[in-house]
Amino acid sequence: MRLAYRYINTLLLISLSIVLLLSCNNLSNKKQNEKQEVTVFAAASLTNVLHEIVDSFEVKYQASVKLNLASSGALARQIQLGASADVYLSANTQWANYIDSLGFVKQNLIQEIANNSLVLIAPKNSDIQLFKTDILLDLPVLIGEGYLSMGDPNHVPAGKYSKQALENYNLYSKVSHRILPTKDVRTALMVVEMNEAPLGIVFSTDAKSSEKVKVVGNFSISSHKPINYVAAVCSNNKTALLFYNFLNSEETLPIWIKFGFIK
Amino acid sequence: MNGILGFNEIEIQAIILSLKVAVYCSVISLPLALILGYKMARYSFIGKPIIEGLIHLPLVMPPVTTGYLLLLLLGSNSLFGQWLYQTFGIKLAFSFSAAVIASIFVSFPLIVRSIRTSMEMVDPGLEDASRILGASKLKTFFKVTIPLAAPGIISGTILAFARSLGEFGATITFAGNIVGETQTLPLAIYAYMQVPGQEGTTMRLVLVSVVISFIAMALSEWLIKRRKKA
Repeated sequence: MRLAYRYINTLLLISLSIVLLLSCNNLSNKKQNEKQEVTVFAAASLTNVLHEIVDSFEVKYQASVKLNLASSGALARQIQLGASADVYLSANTQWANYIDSLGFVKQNLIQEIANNSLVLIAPKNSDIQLFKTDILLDLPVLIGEGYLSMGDPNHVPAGKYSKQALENYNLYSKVSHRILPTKDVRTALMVVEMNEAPLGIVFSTDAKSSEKVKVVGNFSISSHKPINYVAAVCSNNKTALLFYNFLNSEETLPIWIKFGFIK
Repeated sequence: MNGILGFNEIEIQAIILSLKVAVYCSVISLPLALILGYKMARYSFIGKPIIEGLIHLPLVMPPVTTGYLLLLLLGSNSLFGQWLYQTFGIKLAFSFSAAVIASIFVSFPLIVRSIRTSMEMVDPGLEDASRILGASKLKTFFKVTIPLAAPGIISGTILAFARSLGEFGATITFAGNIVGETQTLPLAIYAYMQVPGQEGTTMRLVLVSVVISFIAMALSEWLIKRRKKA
């Protein structure tokens, strides 16, 4: 019995000191936060481009950027439930406006930072050649018995845009029974990479990130709602404002373009 | 929202497809599991632990990983997938067969385990007696071993059936989410969950899957009880 008591005491002591340590850590974090740290909640499709932008930002301003990458919707819910984001980067206007409507955006600091477009892709070794302008009209023939891999038009943003574009070309009804709906746009890319579908529709940035696929057709930007990325400042952190402005600066322009975004 | 009992066409397709996948899965798994379970219970051979590990892998691996491995091993870019396509013109991935294969892999450990355990409980002396009295090996297996191990065989099959009804991760990775081809109940539920305002449909499908699972479980209990009385 005695022995058990002793153990409990030791355990208590250990856990107490851990709690203390953790809270100290938190405090020092907070202090840094006021100086140089900025927490950025960003849509996962920005992962590659942001890493490069963050690198040059950190060098220029001697600041450190913490990234939280997830789907725009999930991030918006996190912010709504009290997660402390300094800057929110959404892959569409709706979620950014939603956060704005809840009053999380400071002093109308909300702006468009980049655009994306849709492309038709095929596996690298595919026979389908780089597009003639009217390749899209041959789409049903090219798909044949195979599948057209794209985000699920019911709930994946890339899939919704793809459906709009196909409808615009009067093709949706002709190919809808051959669509392989994926749970996100990255999976749509993977399916084509693995040669499971002869064709797919993804963002041009996704196509650019992969060595295993080639672009065989472009969808006109006017064939679907604009695919824009929006930044919003959600705290009074000064570094956040710097980062927000940095996103639209001359210095980041080549980085955006390198990754396939349209400015 | 028309059709039977207020289910729309997509929902009915998903329900039928789920049952179809589950039936195919258990019917294909059963003979394989009977042979493997028997071998595992009665014999020891070189590489037994490796085979055991391989069979049980899908039980401990995340189903998405199982699906991804299947895609790598049986997909169009794999050696087997290429051979299959060139010889028979068959593409496995993202088809109904893929949904069945994914289900088989994920539920196989459950059925083998259950059959093996129940076969280990069968007294080998009874099998020997049957052999001495002149029955062939095969006859002994069907007339002595299987009837004595029946409760484990039945519950293993039902478990595999139920597991394949609930299969999600491996299926969405290896078979996709194609309405009427690979969209089973859990996948349809997932798809509806992503759309705002479809809570009613989601709930309906959830209820259906609960009811099906309950019926399967009750059936297995009833079968086992009936055997015990006999």
